[in-house]
Amino acid sequence: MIELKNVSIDYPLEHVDGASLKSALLSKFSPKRGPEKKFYRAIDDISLTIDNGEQVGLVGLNGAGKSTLLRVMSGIFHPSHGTVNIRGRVSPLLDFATGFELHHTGLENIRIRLMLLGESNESIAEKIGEISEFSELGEFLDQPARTYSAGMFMRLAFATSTAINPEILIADEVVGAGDAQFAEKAKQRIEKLLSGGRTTVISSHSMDLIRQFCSRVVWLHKGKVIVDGPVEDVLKDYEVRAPTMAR
Amino acid sequence: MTLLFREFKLAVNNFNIWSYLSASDVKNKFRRSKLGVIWPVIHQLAFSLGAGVIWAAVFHLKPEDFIPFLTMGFAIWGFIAGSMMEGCSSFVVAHGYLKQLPLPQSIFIFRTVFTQVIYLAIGLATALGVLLYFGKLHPLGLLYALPGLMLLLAYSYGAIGTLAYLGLRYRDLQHGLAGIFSLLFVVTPVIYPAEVLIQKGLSFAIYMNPLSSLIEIVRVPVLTGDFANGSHYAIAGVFALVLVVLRFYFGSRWGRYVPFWS
Repeated sequence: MIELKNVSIDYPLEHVDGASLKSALLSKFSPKRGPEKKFYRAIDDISLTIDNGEQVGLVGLNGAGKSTLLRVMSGIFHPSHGTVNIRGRVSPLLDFATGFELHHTGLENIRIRLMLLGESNESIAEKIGEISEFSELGEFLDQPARTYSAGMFMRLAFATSTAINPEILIADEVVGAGDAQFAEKAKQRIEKLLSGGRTTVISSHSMDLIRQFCSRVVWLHKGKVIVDGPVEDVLKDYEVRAPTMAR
Repeated sequence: MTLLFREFKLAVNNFNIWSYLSASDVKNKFRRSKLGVIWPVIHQLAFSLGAGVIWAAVFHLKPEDFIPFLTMGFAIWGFIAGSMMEGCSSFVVAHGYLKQLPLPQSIFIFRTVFTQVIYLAIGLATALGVLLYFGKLHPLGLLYALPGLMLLLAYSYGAIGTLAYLGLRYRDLQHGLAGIFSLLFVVTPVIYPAEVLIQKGLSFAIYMNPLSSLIEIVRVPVLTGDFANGSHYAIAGVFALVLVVLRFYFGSRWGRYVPFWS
């Protein structure tokens, strides 16, 4: 179960030249250039409860706050205001392009990721063979990850992150990964994961995917929940209104 | 106290993760060389023997006394400086994980601590070899060095924990520290005996510098088979405590921002 009460997230805004000690010290001595906006409110006062076994789709335009909200529900971002209560082990499938040790081999990266996802040594030993096979990386698994192409990274991360059996699944736009062949395999794997009846929150621009797997849809706009209801009602509304909305 | 207890529990529960990460960090650093982990040993031996012979002549000291002294100091200094400098990148290198998984940040602090401890162990083992060769190893020296090593470990944890946050926030800190540490290497009695400065009336440079206390509490027991001067333990202890307090201060104030800054 995931419970959000009056949650807001303020992103700290950074200077163009990045946060350096030099600029921090200089700004102490330079004249103030008027009040600066220091935060950007990505999530604005959201209260939401997702019950056990509920499968929820998250829709909204780019920049509406979907990814941020998923990170809050995963326990990665802590709210600036309000409270978050997550009960159950979460497995976030957020971004397949980062989170690798570039100097470690593919096999070591699989092991590290499984450990970080909370798998025990026994279950890692059990799963590592199947993951290697699914990733189709073959002999490259013994090569350092810095030699991998973007597609290989994606296959490695996808194969690993979807191999576990979480209580709560949180996924950010995960379908359509890889070439046509792998995408089909990935789709089947995702569908299997989604049809397991576990608590699920997915964000997607694919209305078909959401129709197929979700019973409830939450529509985010400018960091707020504007509609929350049964899948058909919300999606119909979304498909009519969303294309003409201001970001 | 509850903070420390919770931290300890985190360390125990996640031991398999951070120990694996550290061990593979060390392994990977030398993976692409044939000599592997022998490299830091050669580096240390070359420095201690080469510099030892020359500086022994400069400082008018006996090489068989000075070389063991130098190699011990060099091993401990590597740990002191390495903790501060590598601490800066503890969170920076883990940004992919910190943004994607709900993980305790401490895991990445323990990882850097353990990596540095592995290097320290390699350095100390090399130094002990040198000591044995020159017949300077005191039978009880290692036992007397244990309290000092404990304080050194507390320092490392505090320094890495504090700098992990500062280094993530201020990305130029690591470069700045590298410059500061090349100065500190000269100011701190790593390569010359503290007595040299004390005899010249510069004892404040020793007692004002907590890094020199951190060296003495391990080096003096190993070389002499007795405890170091009590004030060194006090200075090193207070310094380590301040760093540990700072680590929790930044953890509670900045912890929330870590995934944003990553």
